[in-house]
Amino acid sequence: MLTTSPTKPIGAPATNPVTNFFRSRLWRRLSRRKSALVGLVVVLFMMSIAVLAPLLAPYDPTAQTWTAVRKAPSMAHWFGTDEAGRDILSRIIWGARASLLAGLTSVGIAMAIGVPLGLAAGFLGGVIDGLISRFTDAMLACPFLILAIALAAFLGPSLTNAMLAIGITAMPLFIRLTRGQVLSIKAEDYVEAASAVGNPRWRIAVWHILPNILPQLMVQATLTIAAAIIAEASMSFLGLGLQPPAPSWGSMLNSAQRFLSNAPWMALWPGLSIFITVLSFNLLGDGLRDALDPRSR
Amino acid sequence: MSTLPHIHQDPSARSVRADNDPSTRVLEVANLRVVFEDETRTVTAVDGVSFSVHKGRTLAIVGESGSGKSVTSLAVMRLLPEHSARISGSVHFDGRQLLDETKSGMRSLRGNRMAMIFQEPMTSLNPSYTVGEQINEVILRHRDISKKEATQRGIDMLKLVRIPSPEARYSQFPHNLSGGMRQRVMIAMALACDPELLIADEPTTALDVTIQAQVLELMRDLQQKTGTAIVLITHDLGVVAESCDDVIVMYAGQVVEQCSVEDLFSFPQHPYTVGLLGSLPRLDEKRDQLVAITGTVPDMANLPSGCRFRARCPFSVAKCAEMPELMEVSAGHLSRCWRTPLQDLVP
Repeated sequence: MLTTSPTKPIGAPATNPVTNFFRSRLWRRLSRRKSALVGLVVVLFMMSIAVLAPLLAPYDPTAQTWTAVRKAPSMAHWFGTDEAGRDILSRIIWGARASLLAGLTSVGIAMAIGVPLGLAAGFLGGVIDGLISRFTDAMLACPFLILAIALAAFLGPSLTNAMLAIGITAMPLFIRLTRGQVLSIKAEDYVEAASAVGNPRWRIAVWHILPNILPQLMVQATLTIAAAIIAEASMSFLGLGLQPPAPSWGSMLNSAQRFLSNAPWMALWPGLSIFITVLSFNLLGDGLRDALDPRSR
Repeated sequence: MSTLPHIHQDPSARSVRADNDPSTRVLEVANLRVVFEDETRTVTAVDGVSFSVHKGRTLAIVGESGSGKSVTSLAVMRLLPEHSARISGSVHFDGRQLLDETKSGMRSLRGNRMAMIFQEPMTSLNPSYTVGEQINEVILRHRDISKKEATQRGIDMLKLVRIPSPEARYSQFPHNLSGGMRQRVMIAMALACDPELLIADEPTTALDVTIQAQVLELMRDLQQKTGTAIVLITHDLGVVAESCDDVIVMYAGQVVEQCSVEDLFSFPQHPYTVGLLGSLPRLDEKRDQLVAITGTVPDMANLPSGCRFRARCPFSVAKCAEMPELMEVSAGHLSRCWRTPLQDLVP
């Protein structure tokens, strides 16, 4: 009944994904926002520092030099040294690993549990929705950091447990966001059309609804990474995160507080690092939210 | 534009009605009732609707908003939410009783042997996927063929619904397409698996008039080629005149008149149909003013006793306090009115 002769190969993408991204509407809209671009650049810079730490760090971050204790910044030690004579620049560079790892992993955990639960709550509704939503409300009633610290204290002090605790604490944010978005997308005509062509329910949820809420999840993830980095630093400050002598910005601040008046650089650099990283993630998140906001199109 | 013979050319051939020929019957709905219930009220949205659709023919379901026409079509497809809608009666499709069919049985029919087109082409396609991915999904769900063959089939379908440069359109996203183009894509998706039955719920309502005519003509041509039976849900009598064979007119959840298209326009037998026709602008008669039907549709949760059109009817008499049955006025022409035939009556 149907006869055609295709003139060119079909179905193959015209360009590779990287090129596609730089041509996409998201990129065009994001690149118009200077603050978001700055955020993106700093985030990428911090990430490359974390990845390349062994190559970039001028000294071993745990090597103690008792002849150079609490030295002010100099040509030999650009950021100075700490109370055990360790090079602060090297510790900052290695500390970026702990911070970013904690941010990314804990948000990964939060999304891996929260998004499926939110999808189930929003899509299935009824008793399942009631159970998941009440559980979410209960968790959100506790302050974020307090709950994370309580969980970490319960699990025992280590970076893995800190990430787990932050991830579980951030999970209800994703449950609630996913549920709300699913409820609004579920009412769209194309979801009804998808069931009118014989799709099973799980496929409608995963293939038809989930991709349409990814932008919102992406924004929430970026902003939550910032919160998770602060939470990790706070927990390391309290001794619940990465254990000494391994370098972490939070624990560096902790040891610096005893020498604030005579070695302020010990507190300055880790504080500045946390500030800049968190600010960059927030700028990027805000920029993404504006770029993805349908009202601003 | 079309080289195909116009299907309305020969009224005498059309008047040989296929209603009683079971071999061409694709869908038979009998005494369909849909009741929506919640804590506070019970609404009978569809009340004892019966009709059948035949291969190669188009049945129009006409009625104003809230008359139950869309609910009827969703009930046939079993797309109503099961926890709130109670459906009774019978829906026979290909010898199967759809109301007893399992969920997976229904899924294998939907999109495959019975397809649906929705009113809003702008929102009926998923914005996250290309046109091709969405057509492919339907084909691969119901046909055991390779992705490459499905792609070829998809492009053939786009060609069939006369989308220019189908290969390019195939890899575009819905936001790259106009409304008329998207409705063509919806039709291509609906027809991709050669369904026996196509339910089109106000397929042209959201389109502008010139595109409407093109889409209707496209559907007519495709029906000639494939023999698909079509149920066309509409409130637009112009669309009915242009593209349908048989008509049922619905009012407040009931069928009030059932006949061929010719009879509907030449000998309307229900006062509601007469009112609908009277409210149409026409070129061949001078009308100073369009006649609106007075009053409003009754509240479905609180229906009056007797004939549901009684309060708005210029012909109503005391007997109308009793609910009339659908009565045969002439062969194949049914009307739910005590006062039919209406010819000699004056309101």
